[in-house]
Amino acid sequence: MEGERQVEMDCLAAIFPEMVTDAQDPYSASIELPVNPNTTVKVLFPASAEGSTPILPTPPRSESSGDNGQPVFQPAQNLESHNLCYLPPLQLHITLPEGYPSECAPIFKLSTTPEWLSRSYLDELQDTGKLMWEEGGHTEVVYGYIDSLQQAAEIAFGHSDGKALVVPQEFKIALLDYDIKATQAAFDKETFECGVCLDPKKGSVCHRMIDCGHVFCVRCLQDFYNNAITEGDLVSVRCLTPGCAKKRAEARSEKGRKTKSQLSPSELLQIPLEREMVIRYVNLKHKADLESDKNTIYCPRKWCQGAARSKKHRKPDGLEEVESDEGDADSDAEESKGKFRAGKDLLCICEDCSYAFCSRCYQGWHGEFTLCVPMTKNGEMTEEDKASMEYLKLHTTPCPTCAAPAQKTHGCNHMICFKCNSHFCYLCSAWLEPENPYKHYNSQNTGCYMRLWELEGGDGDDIGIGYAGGNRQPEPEEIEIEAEEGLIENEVLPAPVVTDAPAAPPAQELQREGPLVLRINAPPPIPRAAPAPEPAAPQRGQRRGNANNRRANLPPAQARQPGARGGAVRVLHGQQPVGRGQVRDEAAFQQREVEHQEWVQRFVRMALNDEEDQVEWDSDEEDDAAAWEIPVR
Amino acid sequence: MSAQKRIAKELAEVTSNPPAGMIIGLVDESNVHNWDITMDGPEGSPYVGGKFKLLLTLPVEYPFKPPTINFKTRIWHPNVTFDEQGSMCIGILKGDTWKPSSRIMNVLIATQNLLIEPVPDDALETSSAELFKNNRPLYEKEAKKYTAQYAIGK
Repeated sequence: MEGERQVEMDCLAAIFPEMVTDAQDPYSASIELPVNPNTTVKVLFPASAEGSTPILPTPPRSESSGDNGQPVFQPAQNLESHNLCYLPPLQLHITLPEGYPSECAPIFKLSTTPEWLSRSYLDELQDTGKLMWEEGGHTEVVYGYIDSLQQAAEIAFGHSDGKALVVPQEFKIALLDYDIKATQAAFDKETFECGVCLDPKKGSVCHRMIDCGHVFCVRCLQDFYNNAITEGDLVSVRCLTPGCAKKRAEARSEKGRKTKSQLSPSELLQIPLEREMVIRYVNLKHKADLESDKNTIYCPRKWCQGAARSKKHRKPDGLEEVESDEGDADSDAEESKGKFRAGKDLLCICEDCSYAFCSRCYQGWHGEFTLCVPMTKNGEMTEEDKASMEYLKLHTTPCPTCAAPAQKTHGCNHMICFKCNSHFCYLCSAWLEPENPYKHYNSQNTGCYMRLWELEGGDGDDIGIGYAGGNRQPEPEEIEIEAEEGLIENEVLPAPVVTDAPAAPPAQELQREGPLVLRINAPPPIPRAAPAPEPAAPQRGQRRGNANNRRANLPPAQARQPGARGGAVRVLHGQQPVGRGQVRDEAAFQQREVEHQEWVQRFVRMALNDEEDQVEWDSDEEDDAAAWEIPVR
Repeated sequence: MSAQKRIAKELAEVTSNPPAGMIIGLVDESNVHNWDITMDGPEGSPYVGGKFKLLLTLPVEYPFKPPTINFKTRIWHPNVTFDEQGSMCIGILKGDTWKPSSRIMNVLIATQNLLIEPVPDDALETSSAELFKNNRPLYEKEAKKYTAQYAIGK
């Protein structure tokens, strides 16, 4: 008996030199059986860790999806699938007990590390060995058993035919890792003829292109790519096979995908290229991307000239490659171009020097509410914009809260901003108390004392055009609802006498462009004999030219006002205590803010329900009130 | 050095098994960068019967940079300048198409094919290109005339 066992062990050792005989027991040995199936095996890793999932035969899938090692997502089943070429080996431990082969069955122990084949399946395989021994009539069976295991391994134990192998998620890394290493080991042993130097090279000094699979020797790739990157010839950083990039580009465009023929930085590092060289590649590519994008905004600082941070082309940080997602971003940029954009979109931050600037006027960031005009590349405005800006300077007053410019078409100098509802003085931009806005004009030290009616006919050369004078009745149907929430005036006091004017003289472009409209709900106008002449006209240039104190320098204007209106002003004076108009009453201001916010919230709530027309406009004068639009650019 | 080695290999390849109708050698045995090629005018082209001398120059950066080909024998062809230079324009030799693993053998075969099938849309000589496109008989007649004048019996 001893002899039979010994002969079989010797025989096996000769056939399988990799077999290791146990030191203690000459009749025990272990052998690793590689699992290198003929076709790739689709391996599924269930996303949830449900413990060790047994091998489930799952229906075959289409083989077309995914290459070796490429993840294929199965969104429907929430499974990750990989096609693997190599699986960790099957370990077989053989013990030939005394009495083998005639009386005792051989003892087989199978295992895998990690346990990608389930225990129950391995037990089944072990039992097969015993069965073979029994069926074989109690003779030597070990070689036959090993052979059957090897055959089973070739078809991946029944998983080679598109039948997916399901392996617990926890073994995923180990399995993928093994596959990569085994593939590399097999590659290293092969011999390739490098298409550049035409020498045959061992796989260990070659690199296989990740995208196309062409093989070149590392030295030629290094030489070529280093040279191309040094010269800034980024387009050449692609596969060196003639027509390869082109072929793939065609194949991809058929699939409707974007071409990416250039090598990724990570592949360059794998070849390997020097880290510095790859960083240079990434930076050059970023720069080229920025330059090819016509929407790129550059830092206005002469010494910097960096690009503004953009989501589309993120500045590379070291070697982290940022895939730009061009298609969508392009259309977005097109859309917003030329349109009036919210101030937020104007803020640009230079990716190099972190300078915050406005993308429209290329000045330092001025906040969302400052009106500015586009500059051409060399920092100058176009003629048209220059004229507009001049006009705005001359004939508008900015709201002290949000800086929205307002142009007065007529009426008194108490203004309410259409945007933020601030009450302010048209002459000096001072905040006015909403409860008592006229105090400002009745206080001697404000600089606007008795000047409520200055510029009554409106501000600007264009105002008179189409201005019908004071005789016409208000035409509420002409009111354009442009900014509904901005139009409420809660004054109980009689508002200044104002007269009707058509909303926008059609000839004027400025008004058409104007995003800003200021409206004042006012009582019916007191009929007047004639359109108001422009009393302040001769002084306009001076007034606007004198900057801040220009208004204060002017003599009180009431003297020029016609008697009737003078009377009206006097009435107002009588109703209002004289106070320190220029000093802002914080409490009142905050009170107004709170009130305003509450109202806006109420309005928005109703607007969401499409009921905004039911908002109480909180004015008994609604019916006969004239609403005025003062279009401003 | 690797460039020299590769050039030597390619030279061995084309001299041992040259494309039909070509004789290939070095201009100067000590310099592998300049090749002397004699190409027969291919059958099926108006250049048939002519023997054209070509100079193939391999740059120092070869194979990272493409070689250049000049017709030393004058040839009247849309893609070759009709002067002493005899510069040739061919897709495979353009910087953006040339790949380091492109081979001289392919360049020579492409050159031969160019004589059979000119590419008038990529022409260097507009007059011959026009004729090739619009008046093929006249083009053939002219090409034959110049072949006889410059490339036969010289």
